Amino acid sequence: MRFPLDTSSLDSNAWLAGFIDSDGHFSIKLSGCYSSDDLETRGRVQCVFTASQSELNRVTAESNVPIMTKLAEFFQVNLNYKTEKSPNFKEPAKKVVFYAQSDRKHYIITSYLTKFPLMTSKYLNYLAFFKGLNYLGKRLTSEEILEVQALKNSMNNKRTEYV
Amino acid sequence: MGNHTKSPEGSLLSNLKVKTPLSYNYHYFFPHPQAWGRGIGYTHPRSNGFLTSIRTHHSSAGSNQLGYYLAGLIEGDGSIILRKGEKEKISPKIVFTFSVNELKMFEKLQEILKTGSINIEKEGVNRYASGAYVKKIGVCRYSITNADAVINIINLVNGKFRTPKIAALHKAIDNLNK
Repeated sequence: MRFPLDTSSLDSNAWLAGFIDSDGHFSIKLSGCYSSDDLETRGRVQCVFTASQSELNRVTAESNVPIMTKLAEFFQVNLNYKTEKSPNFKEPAKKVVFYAQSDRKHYIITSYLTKFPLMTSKYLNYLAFFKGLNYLGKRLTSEEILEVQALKNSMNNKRTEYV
Repeated sequence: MGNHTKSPEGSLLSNLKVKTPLSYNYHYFFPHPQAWGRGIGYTHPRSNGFLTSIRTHHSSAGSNQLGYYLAGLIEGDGSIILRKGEKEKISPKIVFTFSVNELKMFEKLQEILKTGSINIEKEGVNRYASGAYVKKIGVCRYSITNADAVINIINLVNGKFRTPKIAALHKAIDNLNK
């Protein structure tokens, strides 16, 4: 029995959790002159959730754009087209990617992942991202900047604990 | 964490070269253990929390979130491998590729699905067509080859795909129905 594509709303089931566990990415950006004590020039924090897919399936040449468009709509962001040189393949890889980094839209991802949590160690990166949300939209004290740096140094590539 | 060899649960982990301690129980279905008791609204697993909460949240949709999660995971990191030619009669197989850091989760998945085997690839160097060398570290594969198990999983995820990978699923279904 062949069933067609699932077109139910993305927040109605755990599909997106599986997908983010595979291809999603959480990060924290600290930009500007954050070592300075000068409040005016001090940098700011952004929490970023990214997901990317190749534009076309390498084997069947079918397009991933429709689903990525849906995902971008779900997160209320734009879908970007990117061409990336990769050491793995001769041809540069064409990708579609979106970045959810607007402070006011993080509720979308947090409310979804509260309902349908991640299962891999990406969950821990999400927790760091979640803690990072506390630092958004304000001038940071030097202590807070150190806290954010510590948070950054504990996630993704720099993570040393996985359970 | 140190004395995992003595753990009675350790013997459940079948054919792994590298065994990791099961210092906790993944609760199915099964937030990352650190989610338990953290302040983001999860209930403690031993209170039978997550399954119950899924049922209460999604009683109308049925509580089969495992199938949805697996569908998402297969569409991201999984493969459905079909055989061609003479070997077409052999059932398709399902393979997940992941980093050694996720070994525990896939061991838990293996325990839940009661099938499949996990291989840890040797460290080495991949050479690509472009001439580039990429060191590969800690690549693991979880493969499910048993025909009944594959049918079981396909039944779980059927109708829950959202990407073009559905084509592979459909081919696998046609193949199994032959």
